[in-house]
Amino acid sequence: MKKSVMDRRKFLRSSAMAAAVATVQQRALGAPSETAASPPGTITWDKAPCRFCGTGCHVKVGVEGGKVVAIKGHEQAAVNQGLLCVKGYHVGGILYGEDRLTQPLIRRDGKLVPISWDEAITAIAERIAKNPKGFAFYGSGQWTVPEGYAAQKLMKGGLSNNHIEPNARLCMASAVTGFISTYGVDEPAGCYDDLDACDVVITWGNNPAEMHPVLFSRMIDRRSRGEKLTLIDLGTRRTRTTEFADHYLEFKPQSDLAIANCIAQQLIANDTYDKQFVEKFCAFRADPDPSSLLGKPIGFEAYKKAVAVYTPEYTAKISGLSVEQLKMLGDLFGKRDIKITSLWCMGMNQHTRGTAINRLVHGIHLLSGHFGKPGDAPTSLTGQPSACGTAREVGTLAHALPGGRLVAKEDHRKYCEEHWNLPPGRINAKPGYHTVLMWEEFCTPTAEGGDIDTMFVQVTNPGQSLPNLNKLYKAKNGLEDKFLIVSDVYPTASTELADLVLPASMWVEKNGVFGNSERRTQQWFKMVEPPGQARDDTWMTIALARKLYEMGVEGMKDKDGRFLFHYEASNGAPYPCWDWDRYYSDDFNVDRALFEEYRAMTTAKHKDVAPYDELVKTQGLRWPVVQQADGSWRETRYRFSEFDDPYVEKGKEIQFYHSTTKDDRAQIWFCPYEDPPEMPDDVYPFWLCTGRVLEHWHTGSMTMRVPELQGSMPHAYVELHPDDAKNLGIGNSDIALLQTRRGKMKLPVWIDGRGKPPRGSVFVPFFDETLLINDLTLHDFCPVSKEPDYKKCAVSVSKAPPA
Amino acid sequence: MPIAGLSLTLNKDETLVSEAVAELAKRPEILLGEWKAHYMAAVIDTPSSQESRDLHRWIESLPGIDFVDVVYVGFDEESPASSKLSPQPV
Repeated sequence: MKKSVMDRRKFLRSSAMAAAVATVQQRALGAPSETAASPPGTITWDKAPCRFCGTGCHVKVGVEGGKVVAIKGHEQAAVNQGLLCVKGYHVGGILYGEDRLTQPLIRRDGKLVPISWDEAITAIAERIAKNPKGFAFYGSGQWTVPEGYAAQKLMKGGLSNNHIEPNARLCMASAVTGFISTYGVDEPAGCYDDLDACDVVITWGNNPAEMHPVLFSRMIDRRSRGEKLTLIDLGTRRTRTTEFADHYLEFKPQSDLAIANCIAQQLIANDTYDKQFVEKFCAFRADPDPSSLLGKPIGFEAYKKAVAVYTPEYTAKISGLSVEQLKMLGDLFGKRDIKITSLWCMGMNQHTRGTAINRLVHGIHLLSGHFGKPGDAPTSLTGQPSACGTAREVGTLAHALPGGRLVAKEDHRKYCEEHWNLPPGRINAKPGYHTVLMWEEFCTPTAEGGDIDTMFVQVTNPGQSLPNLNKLYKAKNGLEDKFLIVSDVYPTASTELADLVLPASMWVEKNGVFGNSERRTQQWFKMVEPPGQARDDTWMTIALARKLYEMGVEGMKDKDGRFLFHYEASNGAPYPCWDWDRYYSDDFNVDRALFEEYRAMTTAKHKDVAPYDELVKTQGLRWPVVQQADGSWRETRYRFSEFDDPYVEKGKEIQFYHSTTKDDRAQIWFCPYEDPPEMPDDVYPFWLCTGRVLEHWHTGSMTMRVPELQGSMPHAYVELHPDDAKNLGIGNSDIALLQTRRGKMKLPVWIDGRGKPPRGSVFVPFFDETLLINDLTLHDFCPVSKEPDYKKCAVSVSKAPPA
Repeated sequence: MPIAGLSLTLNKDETLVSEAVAELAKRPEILLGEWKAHYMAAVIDTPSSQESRDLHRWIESLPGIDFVDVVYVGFDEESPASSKLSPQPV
């Protein structure tokens, strides 16, 4: 027995060395050699994208005896080239927390008690059948593409109900409205290859060293090879990214709007904007009052006049940056001989003027011509593995339909109805509730007008991640006619209030497809069995639809009377994909069937995803993926650029073929600086910013189950500036009391820790379920994207009295 | 405990790198592998997670080592952790 253990450790060491050698060869030579092959053994390896962030690293998953036993970075993956971050290399551990949910539970007399799957599905179906308009589906950017697509089809195609939202509303909705209002179509034109080609990277309120560490390594690695890469960190708090920055420009919260306008002002005043690019490819637009997605057209002169006020001197007063720092940025964008990539994530998106700052950053890239060439790109990063693939592309938002379509557009509804073989008029033209409104309606008593009474949550943890939790989540407590269903893998803050808890399969316990930040669609197969009675979320959705069909709910039939999820096996017979015993079989792949049905819907906006079977062969392909004359499939790295995008007409050079003005032009927007809705005052004198940490992913429900990660970062804390701490009489590790207009909380203090907020500002991470900082945050949102601002509200800080 | 495969990014200063490699070679829990350009493969095998973390930090602290990237982790033992909020059936 002992010998067997030793042999096994020897084998694991050999595997580890093979992976390390392959990575070294990949990094040094550009490709691993044959000598780096893993030793033969009993572990079987298969590929999958990492379960965590939107980077989309590909991992190799080692399975032995029905269990994931090893993880290594995929050496052939273009995204990560064999590397993983601290979360990624522990991703296998998230499957094995001891408190996995393993059976359906229903709340009776205040306690969760076991019930069967059939009882659980029946309970949901009866609620929906009783009041279909009062049902809402709240999903996630962690939904796989087939999961989101099935939910979308059930709601919009089956129930004529548009109350479906992903948690991605809370993280990237402002990026979506920024892209659409600028280019007429969502998602970045560039890709990660820009990080290999740029001379300058500007991080706008972004901390990729902790949030997208593999991408950050990819950039910093260039310096190790002797290349020059200038990193400019524009932020409101010093972070790990700052440690590597050539310039750290610390601005006052919200003043990023003024800084972007100041860069535009200088480009025009110094006559360094790219006239040829602007004249050929751009138009100008402004935000009307009230704000709208498409705004109103203005000419160059009106734009010039609008930005003229944002001189470096004026902007310095708003932003806190020096005139010299602002001139450095203006001069930088005015240079034609360098390539600039802008990166951003939650700092720009979780912003009450999130759409505006997204538009402005696109605008300065367009105005300066730093666009459309490798290394010249404005690129948003996403926080979830399929925020792009599922939330944005499948369109699991209250106003959207698959493939970039909208419920409000008759021709879009008609297309979907025909594609889904539905009777005309089935799809509701009125957008449903966006996330904040949906939860507000759910948490408002029915007698007081709260018209959502049944909420189905999949693959997300709103009990921890929604803002202003007391209003938007905890207010549900005690509302007897409200029914909350939560499908998850572990008990969470959300299951605490759930009336029905459903145990879900996760990651490689099921088939899946994700879409990452650079338009890359990635597929994987189920590798291990889920524990106990845990089942796939897609199955739950289809089983629910089937139950409604059996109950006679008309919307579950297509126009020929067939089941909404009617799929046929290779012999032409209807396949019972609602039957769990047959959900996985050798002769039918439900994920493939759903994905291929969806794929046909992706060409309208030239977001053509690759066929499922092509994705099986690769570590992901970036859309549009277009079939070549020889039958092969080619991905696209740079959209809108003739040298790479097959949809750009010959001779056009750059073509924004989904332009909102129908003339192939992108829009350069003017949006003014505006104060945020809540600012520090005498009672609440500090700024409160919230966010993530390297070791934990979002609400920590998975990473807190991995001892190595939990041990590295066991609980939340508040970062405080040393001078503020001194004035408040607070020392390191003391307990501080934080209070906002919405709630209060005691937290241990970390002074001069990993992050260093400026005076007058504090930072708290949100991963800790025992310290729910979102009890304190603001739920005000961007008027266009409806995305809330988690990055700035007013808070008081004091030393907590002894317990 | 986890066995980790590492990709070490080496400093440009060859003297510092030589000193670092000599230090690494002294540690029995470190197995050094192929060295190509500015990168070296290594495996660490320690009795506990804490020792693994400490060793990782020690390697990072060597002047001849710029970065330590983990590229492989073997989950040799079950290491479950639970939430404080577990709803248990009655």
